[in-house]
Amino acid sequence: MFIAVITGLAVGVYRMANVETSKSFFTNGSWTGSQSLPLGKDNLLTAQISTFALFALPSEEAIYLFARKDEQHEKLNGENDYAITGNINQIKANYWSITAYGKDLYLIPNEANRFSFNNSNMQTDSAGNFSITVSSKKQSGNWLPSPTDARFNLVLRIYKGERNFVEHLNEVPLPSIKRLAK
Amino acid sequence: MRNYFKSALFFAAIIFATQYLFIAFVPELIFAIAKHRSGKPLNTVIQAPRTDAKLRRVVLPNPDFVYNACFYDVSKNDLLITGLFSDSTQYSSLAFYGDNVQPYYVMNNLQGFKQKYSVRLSSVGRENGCIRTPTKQGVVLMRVLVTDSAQYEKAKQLQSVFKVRLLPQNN
Repeated sequence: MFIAVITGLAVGVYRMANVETSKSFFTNGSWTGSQSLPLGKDNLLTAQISTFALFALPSEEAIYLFARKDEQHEKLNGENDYAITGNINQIKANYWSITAYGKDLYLIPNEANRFSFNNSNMQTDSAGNFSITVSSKKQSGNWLPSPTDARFNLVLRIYKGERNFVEHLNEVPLPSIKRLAK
Repeated sequence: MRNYFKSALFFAAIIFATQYLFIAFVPELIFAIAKHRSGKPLNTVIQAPRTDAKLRRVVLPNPDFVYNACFYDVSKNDLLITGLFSDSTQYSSLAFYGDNVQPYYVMNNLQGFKQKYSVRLSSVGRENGCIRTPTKQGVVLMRVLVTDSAQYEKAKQLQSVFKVRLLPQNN
């Protein structure tokens, strides 16, 4: 009986952690997210969102996309540097941001006190193109600090996105995450 | 052989039931933990400092937002919530969550709501302007977008005028 309960708990934790294979989530490049908030009666999705995005807003208000891997499907790791590239106008929303979190899902302490970039504070060229360097070492330009040698996550938040854009989030171009050569 | 089959079936049923119940009750469990970690009594305002790496109460905090929170219990009283939204396109919102941490109502300054808001939260009320909570306990979160230091000063003002007050229930 006891072993069955422990096994049941382990199965529950495994199912909750297995976000990327959930039918409720879509994947676009490195980004995984859901357009299903509020959650209704889907217990698994509700538990996943409660655990990994506590007090998330409904999808008419905000969409949260997670990246745990780069474009080569390798897990993001502070041992490497990454370039997040895109165009500031490709995300059609009132406000959007990219934030780095440690594997514990909290902000990563760093000397610059820099945790994110958003559509009003990142440097772009005249055409709106941007490149954010994610690195544990100080960089020029848009530098998003990562942990020294641990896995980390990126979250793309899209607030008050244009309806047509949000409805096609699974296919519209989103910022790409590429590992930089050492 | 039959006993072995029965035991295996019982074992599988316990596993299935446990994982099902665990997943079903995770949101309520997380709400209880968050409420406990807030360190404040119910129906009082929690004014959070600017979000940085020291904030360890809630996972995935957004560093571009300043938050106020109020864990509520409206089983015996209604709750009057008053405050101000930003007077510009600086996003600010009021989001209401039940004790399953799911949002059931959101109002923000970009939807045409007046800058000054006054909303009554109730588990029983039905009159106009009253927000009916599906659960007697929950949390209200005020968010103010802050993208520079000038906005932060304005956000602090919005934090300070956010108030909650208990009212008698009005059936």
